Amino acid sequence: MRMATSGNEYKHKPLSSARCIRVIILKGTSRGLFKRSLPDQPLDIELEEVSLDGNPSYEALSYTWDGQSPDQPIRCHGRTLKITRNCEIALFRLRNSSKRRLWVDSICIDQTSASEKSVQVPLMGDIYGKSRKVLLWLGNATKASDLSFEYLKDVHRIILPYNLHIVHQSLAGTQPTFPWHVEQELEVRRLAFDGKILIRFSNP
Amino acid sequence: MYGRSGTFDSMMLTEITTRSWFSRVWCLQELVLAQEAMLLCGDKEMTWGDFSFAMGSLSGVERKTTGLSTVPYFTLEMYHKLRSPIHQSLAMSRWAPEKSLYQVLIRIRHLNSGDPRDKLYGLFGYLTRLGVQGLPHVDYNIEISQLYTDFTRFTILHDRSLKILTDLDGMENSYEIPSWTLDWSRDHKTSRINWNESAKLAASKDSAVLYNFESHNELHVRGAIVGRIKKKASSGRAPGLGTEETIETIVARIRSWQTSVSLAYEAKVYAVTEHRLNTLLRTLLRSIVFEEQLNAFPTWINILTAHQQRGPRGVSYVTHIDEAVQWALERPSIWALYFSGDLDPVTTVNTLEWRVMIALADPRPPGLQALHMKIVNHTTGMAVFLSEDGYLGIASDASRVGDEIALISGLELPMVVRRSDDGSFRFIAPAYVHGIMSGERWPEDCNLSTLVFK
Repeated sequence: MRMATSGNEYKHKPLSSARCIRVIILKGTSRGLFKRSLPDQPLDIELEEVSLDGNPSYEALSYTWDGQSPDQPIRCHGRTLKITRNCEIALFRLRNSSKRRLWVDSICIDQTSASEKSVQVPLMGDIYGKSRKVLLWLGNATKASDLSFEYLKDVHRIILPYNLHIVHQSLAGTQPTFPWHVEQELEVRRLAFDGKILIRFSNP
Repeated sequence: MYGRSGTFDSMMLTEITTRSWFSRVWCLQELVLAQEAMLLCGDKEMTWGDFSFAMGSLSGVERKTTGLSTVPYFTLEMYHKLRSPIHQSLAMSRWAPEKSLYQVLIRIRHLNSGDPRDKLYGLFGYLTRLGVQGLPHVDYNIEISQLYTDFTRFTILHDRSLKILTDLDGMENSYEIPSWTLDWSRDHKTSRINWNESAKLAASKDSAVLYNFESHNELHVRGAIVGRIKKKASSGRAPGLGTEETIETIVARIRSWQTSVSLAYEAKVYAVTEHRLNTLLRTLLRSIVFEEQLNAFPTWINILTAHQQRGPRGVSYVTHIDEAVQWALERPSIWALYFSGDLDPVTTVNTLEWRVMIALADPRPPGLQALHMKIVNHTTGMAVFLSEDGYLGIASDASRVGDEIALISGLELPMVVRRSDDGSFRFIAPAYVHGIMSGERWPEDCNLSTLVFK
């Protein structure tokens, strides 16, 4: 039996001032990390109005719409709100065991109101600038992305002790260089990563 | 240790940096404004700082050992350049704070947005943080062409500079806009004349910046017409063609360079013939050339013109090309780097121009490959031309024989312009004209006239 969605759709309440924004309260899930995106526990949110001048606490999501239209239903104040597939995947990824305060453009701005958009868009500088952290959602993993992140973390571990050294050199406007042994280690990593060169090494 | 299968290469890092997140103007703004940022990809995460520091270090080491960079760090540099002026903690970084709107805008021009208005609106939060005052009001009911025109005018007035005009490329626009207005919805489609300000150019000396907006569509400037295009080589990249190299673009590029060599010999302003080839190199690159690359230029020319050269010299370079092709064919990874796409192997290998291109990209002769890549990057969509009075220059391929070269008060680059029947002009694109870039042809004040651009 399908419920008629028309009467049950969430409608944004108008904002009370030009410095106000809505923040999402994303409810937590009791499921563990790897089961948080199972569809048997749909996304459940509430929207709370806050003033940008009241030192609000939230993390801002940065993701791409990719031309998708909002067709994935989630729960919002017990009603139905439709969001894009990309956005839904990102929210599943961000869902914790406890609630999380987020700002997501497509949900927090009433997309049906051109006048609200014209007021909220100039606030973007503050919305992202005042957020506790900006979460850059690149999308689902691939084998290549997983390996790349592992690889970059390894590289970062090698160069970490020389971070200050780099800043110092940057002041002089020169190309960052590392001590010889660090460069060697990096070069070995780089070659190991580059399959073509690896092949050349094994078949001289 | 990373790949038991042995299928790794740096293209894997590119899989991350070519994701759509990196091409969106909203995402750029969201990152550059952030005090703290965390990258999330599937279940993996890494702070933005750690991520870009690791990429930058890898890229630096690679550049140092190979002279090239396949690690896609260049994608990330833009974010640092835009972040540093608004974050105190980054104020010590080596990039100077952005001084003008122009510098911000040219960096983001390749990004896109769902709504063409958002290409600009998507930056307003950042621009406000930079301290830019008086931005146009955000209005989603405005015509795109009007917003683009208004914003080009705003940039000129804000910067008190005409420099934004140097980002015109003469290529087709999606909207009905004046010729002095940028089509912000799309990327710049040719190589730029003076990318990263690597050369000090002042074709109009230190003349005053003068402009006047007479009506909504007209820009009035002071300047002088100093030349006319007599002959030009076609760049081989038709307007609207993608960035992919195909056999057609390779053929056209090679022929265009070959024509450029003969134009260089005709460039009679430069007295000594020997110097004319150096003039060609300066025209092709418009930037500082390292000595090793400079030394490789005769080899580059000889390979390029091998089939036109008579006698044993020509034969020896044709043999050289055959050998280089054979060497490259045994190492597909070498040439696959430069020519992607579904090239038909039989046609490709038998195409004369493709063979020349492979020999030009040969990594073995010192400096040759680096020089060649530099020329490739600096001549995309560009055509070398000869002016009626014998100067050699380069501009967008949208320029035509008969177009005129204008020097404009306050603008460091000459502009290729086209005269309309009513006496007004249209901008085509900026140019590099060797021998006039330090003000040699800049007239006295009394010889300037008002030029009307529509």
